[in-house]
Amino acid sequence: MSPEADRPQGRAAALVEVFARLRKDSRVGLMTHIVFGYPTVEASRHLVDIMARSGVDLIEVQLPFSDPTADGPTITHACQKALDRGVRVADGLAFAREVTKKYAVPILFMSYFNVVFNYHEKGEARRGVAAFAKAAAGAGAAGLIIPDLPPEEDQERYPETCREHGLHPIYVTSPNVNDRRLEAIAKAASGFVYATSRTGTTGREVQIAMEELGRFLDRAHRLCKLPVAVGFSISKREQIEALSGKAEMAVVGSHLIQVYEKLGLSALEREIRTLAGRKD
Amino acid sequence: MNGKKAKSGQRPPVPKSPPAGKFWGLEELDGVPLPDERGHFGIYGGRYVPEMLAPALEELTESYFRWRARPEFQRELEKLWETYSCRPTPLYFAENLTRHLGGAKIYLKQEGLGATGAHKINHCLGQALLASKMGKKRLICETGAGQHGLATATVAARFGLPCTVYMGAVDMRRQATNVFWMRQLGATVVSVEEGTRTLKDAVNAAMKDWMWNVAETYFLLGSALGPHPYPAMVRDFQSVVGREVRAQLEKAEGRLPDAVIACVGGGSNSIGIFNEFLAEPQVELVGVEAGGRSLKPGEHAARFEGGRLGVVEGYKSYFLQDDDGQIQKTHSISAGLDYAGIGPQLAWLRDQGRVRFVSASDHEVIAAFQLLARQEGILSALEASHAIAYAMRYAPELPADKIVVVNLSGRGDKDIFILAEALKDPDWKAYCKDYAEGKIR
Repeated sequence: MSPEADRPQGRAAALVEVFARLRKDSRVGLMTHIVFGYPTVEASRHLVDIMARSGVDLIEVQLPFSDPTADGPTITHACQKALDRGVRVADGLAFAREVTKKYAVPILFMSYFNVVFNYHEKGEARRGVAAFAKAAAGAGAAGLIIPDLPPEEDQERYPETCREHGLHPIYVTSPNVNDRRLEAIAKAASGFVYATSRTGTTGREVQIAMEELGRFLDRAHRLCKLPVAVGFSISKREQIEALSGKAEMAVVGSHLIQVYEKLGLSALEREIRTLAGRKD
Repeated sequence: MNGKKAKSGQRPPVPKSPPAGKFWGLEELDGVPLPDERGHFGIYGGRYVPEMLAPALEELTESYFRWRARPEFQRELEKLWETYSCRPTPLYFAENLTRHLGGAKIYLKQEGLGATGAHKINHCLGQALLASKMGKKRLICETGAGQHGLATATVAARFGLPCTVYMGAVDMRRQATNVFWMRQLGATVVSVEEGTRTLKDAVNAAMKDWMWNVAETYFLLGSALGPHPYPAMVRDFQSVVGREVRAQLEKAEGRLPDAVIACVGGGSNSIGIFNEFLAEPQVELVGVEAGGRSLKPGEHAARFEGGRLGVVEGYKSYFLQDDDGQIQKTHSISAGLDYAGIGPQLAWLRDQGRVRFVSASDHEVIAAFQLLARQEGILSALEASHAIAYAMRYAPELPADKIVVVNLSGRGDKDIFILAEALKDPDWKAYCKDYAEGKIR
């Protein structure tokens, strides 16, 4: 893409700013995750509030899907519960509109491609990527994370359509992926690349093989020429610190849901502050 | 090329035999590749999976297309089909049923006579052989009714590979006999407690297992759907059904059928029998979906009666889903058809007007099962009884010189509990009660 024509505006620009600031401070950033509507929409509001106040750098808002193939049991269960309570995609968009007005921290939508592909404005017949991208940008999101849309499927000019609406198309990649595929992601992606620390699904505590991960992150940086966020099996401040010099951002998802479920909101706040490296 | 039935009295020409050594599915129709190199059938199909599965699917695609072209692979598989299962399965002229219905001649392709009682063994032997050639150490699969799980557990035992079968908790209760048999065959059966706890959730669970164990595990997918290359590969392994029908009918009648009818869940048995006739426009192809209790959302599994285009479980096709794209609950009296999606090639063939889709209700299906049992002494699986149900409607509309082939994809032994319940058989219920109470030894 030509940097002049596609210079990000608004929230997309704020996301680029986040990474510039992290580089300046030589700090590994923190992206935290919620499943919208789990356990309730009100709880999602509290969670985002805590995250924003605790100095989280990015927030990933997962719009629940009935068949979340990349997620482990914790997030799959959370999605199912939210859907059982009747949460709709439109509610998630309204929620984002509300929180992006209130807080400066950029938010990204994460979901599965069928949700994007089937989205339509009320009363409009036309469904698809453009309709969703317009709505997501209108709600103040900075980007989309769609793990089941590989670059070669390029549905409805997905990456271009995202950028035209001021959204970063964030691609998820993994250590077993070859250079050719990383290069394809490099062509499509902007903002940053989401690298999983290992293969498998989200939310299982697994010892991360740091040396192997380091080699993969080098490769991802070299081929994609974008900041890299690392997710999957990250639940401790030490792990985030260990990413220093290897990645720009750490992503914590399932762990926070587990803390919230077991220990409640105030414990979650302490946990997020610890993860964010806040000493106060 | 519009799937309309041939004009009455106009006899299809005598077919030529397929080219020797031609082992797989039709690769092109009207200039459209089936599929293209990235697995698309027109706008359908593709490979919509998380990146970490891409290397495994690329490896599988490359290995599959390399192995299937080798005559020794084909010979080995054909020998397994013949000696381990039962190929060719008979094509039987259902004379009593034909007389009873009074119309076109009805032939039945008896896939239920193969090993494990359904057509699933065809692609399970093919995929297990491929897995062993690829040096894979473990098989995993999903199952709905348990027929695919049973066939996978069977071939796992035959090839000496450990096997894990993912099955929805609801299906495990509905199909407890198959769970028992799978365990006897040495498979680990894992109960899937997520989502609707049925087939789609079992597919998700198997995919997730694969993400964790992607290097050494072979995911033996059970239908002509999912990410590329599964729709093409399963079709290829099932295409033996249609090839046999052509040769058998040529011998019996010296000509092609006028119509071929098959039930459609994911699409493995239907694409298996249709494939051979796709390029023969005079042969009408009819897919019968599960009409369930009614055509209200949640009451059926007829994707073309209320489904919409979507991208789920790795492929683009028609899915039963709500306005937000959330997959809906489905229902069918036959667990094997109780699924929200349909194979991508079938969705494309429908758009082309090459395959016509209809649905049969649970009620019609039970009547069809009973009619076939009484008329021909054949106990058909509830899945295949959908195809019979439509043949009962359609054959009487056709003149007596027409020929209809129905794919009897499986036999009905497995459905004894569901049928006894649906038919409210008092003796069976009393037997189950007495047996459970230890009164019968």
